[in-house]
Amino acid sequence: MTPPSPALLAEGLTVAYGRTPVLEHVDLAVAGGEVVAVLGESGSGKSTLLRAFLGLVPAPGAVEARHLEIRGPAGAVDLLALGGRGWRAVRGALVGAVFQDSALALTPLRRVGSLLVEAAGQPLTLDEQAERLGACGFADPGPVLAARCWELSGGMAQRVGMALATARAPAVLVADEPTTALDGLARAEVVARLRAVAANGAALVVTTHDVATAAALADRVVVLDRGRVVESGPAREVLGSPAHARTRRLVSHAPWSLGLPPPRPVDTSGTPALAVAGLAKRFDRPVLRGVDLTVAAGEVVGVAGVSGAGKSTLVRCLVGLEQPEEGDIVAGGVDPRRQGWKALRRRVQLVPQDPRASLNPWRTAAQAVADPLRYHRAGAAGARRERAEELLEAVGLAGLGSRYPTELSTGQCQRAAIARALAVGPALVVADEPVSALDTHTQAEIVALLRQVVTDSGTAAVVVSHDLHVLERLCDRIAVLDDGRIVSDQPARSLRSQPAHSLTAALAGCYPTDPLDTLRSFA
Amino acid sequence: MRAGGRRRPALAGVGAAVLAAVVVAVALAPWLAPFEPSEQLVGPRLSGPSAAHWLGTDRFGRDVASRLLHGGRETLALAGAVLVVLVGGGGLAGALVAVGGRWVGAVGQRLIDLAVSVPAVLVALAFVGLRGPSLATVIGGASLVWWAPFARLSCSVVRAAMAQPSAVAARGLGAGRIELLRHEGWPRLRGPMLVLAAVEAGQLIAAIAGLSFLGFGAQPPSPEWGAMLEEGRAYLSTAPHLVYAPGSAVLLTVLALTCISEGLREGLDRQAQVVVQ
Amino acid sequence: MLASIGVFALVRSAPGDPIDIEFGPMVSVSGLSAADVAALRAERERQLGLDRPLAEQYGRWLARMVRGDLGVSYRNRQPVRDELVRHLPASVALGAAGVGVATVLATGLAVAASRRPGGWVDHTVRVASILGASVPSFLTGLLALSLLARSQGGYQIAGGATLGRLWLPALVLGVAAAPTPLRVLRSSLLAERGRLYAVAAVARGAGPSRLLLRHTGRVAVAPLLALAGMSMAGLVTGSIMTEAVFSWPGLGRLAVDAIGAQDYPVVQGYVLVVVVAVVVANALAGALQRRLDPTVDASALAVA
Repeated sequence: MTPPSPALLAEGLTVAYGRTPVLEHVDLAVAGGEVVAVLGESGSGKSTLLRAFLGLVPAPGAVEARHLEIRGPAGAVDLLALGGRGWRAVRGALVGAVFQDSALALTPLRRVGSLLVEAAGQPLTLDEQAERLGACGFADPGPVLAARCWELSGGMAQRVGMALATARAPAVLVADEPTTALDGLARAEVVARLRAVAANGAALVVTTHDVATAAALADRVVVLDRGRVVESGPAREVLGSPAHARTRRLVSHAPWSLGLPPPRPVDTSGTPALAVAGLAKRFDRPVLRGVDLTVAAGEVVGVAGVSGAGKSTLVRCLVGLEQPEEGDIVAGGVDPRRQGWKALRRRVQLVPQDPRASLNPWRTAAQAVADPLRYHRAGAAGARRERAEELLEAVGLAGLGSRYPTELSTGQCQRAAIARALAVGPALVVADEPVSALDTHTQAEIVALLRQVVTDSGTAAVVVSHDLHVLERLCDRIAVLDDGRIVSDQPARSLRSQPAHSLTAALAGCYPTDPLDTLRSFA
Repeated sequence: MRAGGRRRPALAGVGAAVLAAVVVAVALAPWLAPFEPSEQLVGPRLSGPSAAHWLGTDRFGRDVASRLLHGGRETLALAGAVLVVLVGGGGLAGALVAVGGRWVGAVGQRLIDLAVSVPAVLVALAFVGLRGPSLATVIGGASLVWWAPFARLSCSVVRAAMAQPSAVAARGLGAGRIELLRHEGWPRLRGPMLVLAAVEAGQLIAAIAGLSFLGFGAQPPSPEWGAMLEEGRAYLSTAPHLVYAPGSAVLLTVLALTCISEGLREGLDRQAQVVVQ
Repeated sequence: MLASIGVFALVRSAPGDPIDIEFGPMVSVSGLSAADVAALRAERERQLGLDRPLAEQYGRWLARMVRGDLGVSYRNRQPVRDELVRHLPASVALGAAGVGVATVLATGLAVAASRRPGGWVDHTVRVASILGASVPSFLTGLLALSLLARSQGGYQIAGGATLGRLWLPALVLGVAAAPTPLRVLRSSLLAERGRLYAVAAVARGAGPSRLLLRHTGRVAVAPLLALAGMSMAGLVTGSIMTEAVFSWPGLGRLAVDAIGAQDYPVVQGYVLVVVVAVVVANALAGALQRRLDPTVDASALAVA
């Protein structure tokens, strides 16, 4: 049987800005109902590929190809021959787009209903609008239709974005990193919905740097490296037995491929590094509702949970950036109510979430690492410099102290942030999503580094993350935070075999020990 | 990328060069000017530009060019000095309001909002109405509210800076307010403040000239540019050079300042884009 | 509230005893003896209530203001309020026309310039904007007058506040007021165009005009509203200058004449009215901005 002509066909696609090529000779063919994942690290050209399919490559870029066409119900459309008005007819009707951060992809002041009508290109009755939203996972679409986009939560925005992209049932749907920065449960939902769209006959192209997403979602995988296709084929083959070095690096060098750490003896006698009891904090709604957590000296405890559970607020309270309404925090023997919050900050240090943004762009790496010493007036200038050098060496940044954050990679920035957190020798280090902003293989490196550094220095740590793989490899114990409360708190080793709570079990399910087990077969 | 891209920073350079030329010329007035500004009848009255008098003479036979050079000294020197005080004081006040506690923040913000909405020219006029016209009164009155734009900028920039992840991280690590202001606030403030200073400097000079033009600022026989404009107004049709000369001087100075501010602003915007990428 | 205290403090605490001002010229001319002058002063002080404690003076002054009694002009003995009211329409007309001109100019040029950043339209607009911002309004007015007055049957230099005479000062005022909103709107439009929601809207098939009207336009307008409150101040300043140059019989002219004649009740009344108007305008603009764009953060308008 001859295979049906592909819904999306690209042959020899090249995109260049002046003389710098961003994509070179990319071939891609996607049939209706098929899901292709484009796998690559940041800078590999994934986003440019999607933009080429949407006609959104910014002005100085030149798009060339032997063929670039989309086949819709009315026949094939040559994308290279389209002018402004031609593209306007094609976008939305033949090719739809889902963006990484859906909340940012919606015009803030517009009402959801009006955006829906605009995307559909035809007037819709309220019932029709409600029906479409319902199909995207809204139990009660009515109030959502009337809401303005800036009022939507992240999850709601995600679903609305999907509804808008599929409003005219395009033949091709492109999705740009749809699961990045989502926790396991949300990721599973997105994957399910994308699969449903494909099941309806659309050709799907999904870019991602996350191998687990690719494994869960794709029929075929195309690996991009610096603008060229280095490997492509059925997902089972490419991910199961990667041929190219780049693919191997992506697939096998991920947090879940690191070995689990050997169990460590933890000394629970003596002053705990952290003792939190009944912590409560509310903004316009209660965020933390009585959190109890104890961390012994030298112990590493993880806090897992979905977005919105209150993890960030917990971090801020632990570090002294927010003052809780109720509850006690005692860290390293310091009670802020008696000794002041600055004293607390000396004993508790932070590794923030966004490595690049948390470093002051006007300070070099060495200066940034030495800063906590300055803030707490610890040591003379010369001694501080030496300590900074020591720390930089310990995190693998020897000799890079005079560089500014803009001259460092994101992974290097995170190393510097870790060094900075250890500068004053705190009793407790709090790491807030330490690897979520990084590429998968960089994540593995940083997890290994963190493990080693924390063990060597003997500091206790609290690691907050939605990624269970990361927590399993760093922590002695893992607690699960849900809606402001700790619902389970157990040793890391027993989490999968004996989950103490249904949420714990659900999370463990979302982060399978080997994500590649879930490879779909190509029918 | 674009051909125009490289032209923009040059704009600030051109503006700065022109301004420097004006400042130097005006500063060296006593040596550059061929005649005394108040010396009368050095030439025929109301004569147009000629070899002996490059910009002609006014109704008292005074050399316009000399008057122009000398007139600039008062205006520019005073404006410059006042501007430094306004920028420094206003900027500091704004920063303090931004990092101060709840009380300081709320009251300070109201005060700044109020001062910003009151037109400085109005206050200057009010002062003049009560104390009589003089350059000092005008500048003094205007200064009462002209610190506000700088305070407002400083306050909002510092506030935004404190919300940046690097500032939050620093605070979590134990940084105090002074350190935060120095490392997070100041680097983000100096660019926009310079732009605003250039803009407001131009406005200040224009306002001084305008008020003198109305008769409320520098009084005759002061050769201040606005006063010269006022004197020349009556002879608009017969001896237009009396209006064009000081007018061009004011225009040139303000234009130079505006170019500087626009060029700086372009440069800043472009820098911000690079950082984002 | 704060403003009224401010005005009162300004008026009362400014050196220059009001009675001296009132009496000044009279005394030197009439040649009364020193003792007589002192007696007259005391009498007048009692009349004006200046011998009462400061707080009480403020209270009574405030009561009078609220009732609308702004005092009586020194020059022509007319109630200040009537004087102000008489000159008000001319100023309002000029102001409204000027704002209209500025809005049309700023919006139209900003939209045109933002379509192709870096194009020749954009460059021209930016050059014009720099020029417009640099030339002080009184200078523009002077130049405009000199140019147009020469031509045959051109503009009347002096005269009343007629519609026929309105266009030139309104144009001058508008040109002076347009550059700043123009720059803000243009950069706001360009910035919003690069934001993800704009790209997403285009990806759904929006064309440039639909994008502008229904997506970026609404968000881009927000910083302008913050400016609008501030521009009241600029409008007042501009109107003073423009009215003086064009001999336009509005409030600005009245104030300028009154200052020249040291008619300080009129000055006081003018200052009070203007300050109140400006504060109210700012409050309105702020409220409008919050209503239209609930997401706005007060610190969003950083570099103006």
